[in-house]
This record gives sequence, structure tokens and C-alpha cells, in this order.
Amino acid sequence: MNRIRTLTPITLLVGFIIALLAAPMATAQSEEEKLREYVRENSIRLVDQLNEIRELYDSDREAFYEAMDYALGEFVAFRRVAARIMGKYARQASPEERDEFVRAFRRSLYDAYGGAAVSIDSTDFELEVDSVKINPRHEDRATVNLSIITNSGERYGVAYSMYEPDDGKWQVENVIVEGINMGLAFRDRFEQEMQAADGNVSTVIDEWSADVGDIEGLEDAVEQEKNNG
Amino acid sequence: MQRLVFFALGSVATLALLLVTGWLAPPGGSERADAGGHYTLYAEFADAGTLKPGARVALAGVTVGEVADVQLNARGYRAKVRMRIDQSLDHLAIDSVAIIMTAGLVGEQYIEISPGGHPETLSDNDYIEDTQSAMSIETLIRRRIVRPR
Repeated sequence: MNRIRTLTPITLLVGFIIALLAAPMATAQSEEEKLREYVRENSIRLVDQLNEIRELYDSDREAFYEAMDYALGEFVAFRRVAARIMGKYARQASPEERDEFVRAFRRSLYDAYGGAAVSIDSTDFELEVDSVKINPRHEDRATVNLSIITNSGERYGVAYSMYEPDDGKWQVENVIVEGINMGLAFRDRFEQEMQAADGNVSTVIDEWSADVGDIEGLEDAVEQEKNNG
Repeated sequence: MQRLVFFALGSVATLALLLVTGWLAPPGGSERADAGGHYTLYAEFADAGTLKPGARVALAGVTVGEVADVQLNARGYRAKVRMRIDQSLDHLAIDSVAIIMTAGLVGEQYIEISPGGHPETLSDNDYIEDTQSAMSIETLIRRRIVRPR
């Protein structure tokens, strides 16, 4: 009886307002939880896939790159990463030059880090997703903080800047390792090379891809990224 | 004649003093800028270092604004920096990066903006989402110390 009496219209109104206010919070939390799980699963999947293609690195480098491209293609927004690296010069580059830089950058990454990637064993480290924060100003952007803990006890802080395309899954668009903004580090390199090339974007892209041959599958991946926006 | 010389010298000295102390600033200078020559941008950093209000905001080494205030965003434990940017710089791309830099080895800290190339631009009260925090020597040493070899 007492319980019924306490449910006055004012109580109901206050409860309703609290529920309304809490609803977006609950949605955001569940979105963040989903993203946390998505990042954790994808990180494990990537390491497993790298383990599977390890032998290709020595036997068939092109096949290895192709497999790496397949593994990373969905999880990394290479087109956005490349645009960030070009920075202000992206505006003066033609669409073809931007496409070319996406290809060159991907390939340069595989060249530089492919060897290191295959030398890592999934039992060498543990990966923990520490926190996930969807940007309160842009719900299609988020920051995911991770810790990589090696068997010897070293702990590295890594943060993914992530982006969710309208019609796709969350993708990594920047990585911050131990406080160092990797996208910015690559942008600095692009800037330096632009100065050395007297501001010629085409030259910089050509030189970036100087050691880069053709790779089957990259064309398709770039095309797919273009379609994803 | 001597009086005239003293008068002239005195006038020149007074004018110079007024100019130096800012009493005779050119009309419309900083006053006009304050009235509408700036817009506001925000950036959040994991570590703002010793960045202070009044610190300069630069692009390509050229001052384009100043830090209005530095506050703690208590919800995310991040430093929230408010910047006043010259209105003439109204085409900064949304993928620009705000970087806390140090002038020289031990100089004051300031913000350098690395402009992006995205077609969308930042406007009043927007955030520069991509940032690089201050890197202090102490932090780097601390990170090495806590790591087992």
C-alpha cells in the first residue's frame, strides 16, 4: 500500500527523466563493450593469421604480402591512414596519386615490418584491452587502449584511434605506441621528403614506392577501400 | 634655442616611452582582434607538460594563436586545452594534429599545428582530435626504470 502511495506522478516523472538520461549512457556502454570484444577478437585473429602464413615469408614473399593484406585489409583503414600521412599535401595530390600512395604505404609497411611480424609468436605476449572510449563528439570515432605484455614482463601501452564507416566495421586509422603518435611520425617523414623533393608530391610517392613492385591483390584491396569511403 | 632642443628631445623620449609601453598602439590592433578576429579550438592531451595559458600556437613556425586555458577534463583525466586561433586561419582540415612542442631544449612549451588535408574544415568550438602529448625526459626515464630487463 505504501509502495503504491509513493508512486506519485512526480516520482514517475523523475524516474522517466532518469531513464531517458541513462538510456544513451547504457547504449554507449554496450557499444563500447562490443568494440572492446571486436578489437580483442581481431587482434587474436591477426596474430593467428600471421602464424599461419609465417612460412610464406621465406618461400613466397609476394604470397606472404598478399596474405598479410587480406588479414589486415578489413581491420585497418589504410586509405584514411595514408591520407593522414600525406597531411596538407593530400589536397594538392590527384586522386590517382592518392591511390598510388595508399599502395606504396601498405607495401612499405609490409617490407619494413613483415619480417618482424613473422618472428613474433602468439605465446610471446599477452594482449589486454584496457579501455574503450567512443568519442562523445563523433560516435563514429573511438579510442581503444591496449597493453601488450611480453613474457619477460615488459609492458607496452598502445592506443588505436578507430573509425566506423557508415556501412562497415570499426577500423584502425592511427596507432599510438607508448605515447608516440605513429601517424604523425609518418607524416613528419612525408613532410621531410616533400621538402627534399621541392614540393613535388609525385616524386615523393614514387620514391616511397621505389622498392615496391607490383603485388596482386593490392589493387583489389585499394578498390574495396575506395568503395568503403 | 637650447629650450627648443630640450623640448624636441623630451617629446621624442616621451613618444618612444609611450610606444614601448603600448600606450600608443596602432588603432584597431589587438582590440579589433579580440572583438572578432579569433575563433576557438580545443584539443585534449594525455599530458600537457608545462603548457600555460598565453603560450603560442604556431603553424609552420608562425604564430597563429595562443593557448587560452589549460584545464583537467576530470572525466577522462586528460588535459583540455582551449586555443584562440586567428580568424584568417579558417580552413584548417579536421585531420590536423595538435602537438605540444618545446622551444629549444629547455624552453617554454607551445602548440604546433600540423595541418591535415581532409576536405572538411574545423570551425569555432571544434576539437582537434588527433594530438601528440608532451614527452618529458622524466616520463621516458620512468618507463625504462619500471621495465625489467
